[in-house]
Amino acid sequence: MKFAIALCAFIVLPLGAQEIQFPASFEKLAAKAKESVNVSLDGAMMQLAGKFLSGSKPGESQAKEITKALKAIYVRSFTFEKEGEYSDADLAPIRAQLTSARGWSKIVDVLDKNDRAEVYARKDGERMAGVAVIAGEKKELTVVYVDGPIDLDRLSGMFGLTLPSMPPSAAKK
Amino acid sequence: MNRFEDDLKRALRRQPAPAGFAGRVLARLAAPAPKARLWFRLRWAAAAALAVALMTVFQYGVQQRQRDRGELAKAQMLIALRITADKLEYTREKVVRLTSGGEKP
Repeated sequence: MKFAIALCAFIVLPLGAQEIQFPASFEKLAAKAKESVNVSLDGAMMQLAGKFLSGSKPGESQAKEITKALKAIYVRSFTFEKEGEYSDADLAPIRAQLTSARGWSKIVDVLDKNDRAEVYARKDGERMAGVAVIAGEKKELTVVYVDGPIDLDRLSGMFGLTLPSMPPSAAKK
Repeated sequence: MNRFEDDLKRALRRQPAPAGFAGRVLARLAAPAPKARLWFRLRWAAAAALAVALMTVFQYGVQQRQRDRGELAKAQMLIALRITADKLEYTREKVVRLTSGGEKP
């Protein structure tokens, strides 16, 4: 019995910490897109990038501070020539991961005509430990997955934006 | 003519080798020739210099590749942050527009 519990914990615990995967069907959208952005920065690449960010240049020093505690950033952004090149089914596997993974919860879901914006946050205790954004427009689709605590105040300051503040308590299921 | 022949005979007459000549010749034969020793040293120095040069070039190449990877990672990170900020701002605008009755923020 103890062995079975240990085995279950061994199998289940790593799944909880597993990063969100982009399914192959989603990655194939790049072939249809007029423009695409594919950024996959894991821990090692984040560290490497951090070494090359200047501590004295304004934009870079802010980025250095923002990304210091981050474990990974994954971005997929597609711009299409015409409407209807992607469907909700393309996003379903990503949504399924975000809604089933431990600690993740949807905090914003906006549907405005054909445009959709969803924000998911992962809570680790009382702090936000990750954020994912799905932004779908008529001819553009973007999915962002940030693993680690991201300081939105610093991020908004870096680009001169007024991003919504997301206190840890906002990430509730 | 006879005088010339006498001179020639005198000049070509067999003379005994000086004392210790054979020993000195044998000793020189046993020791490596100075020119060969110098070449031997030069060859090693050239090989060492070549090895150092190759290592420097290799090291430079590795550093250059690392620098390129780092610069690429940095650029990707800045793009990722820009897109993240843009899409969060896009979401905020949508929320504000919908909550303020369709007016653009």
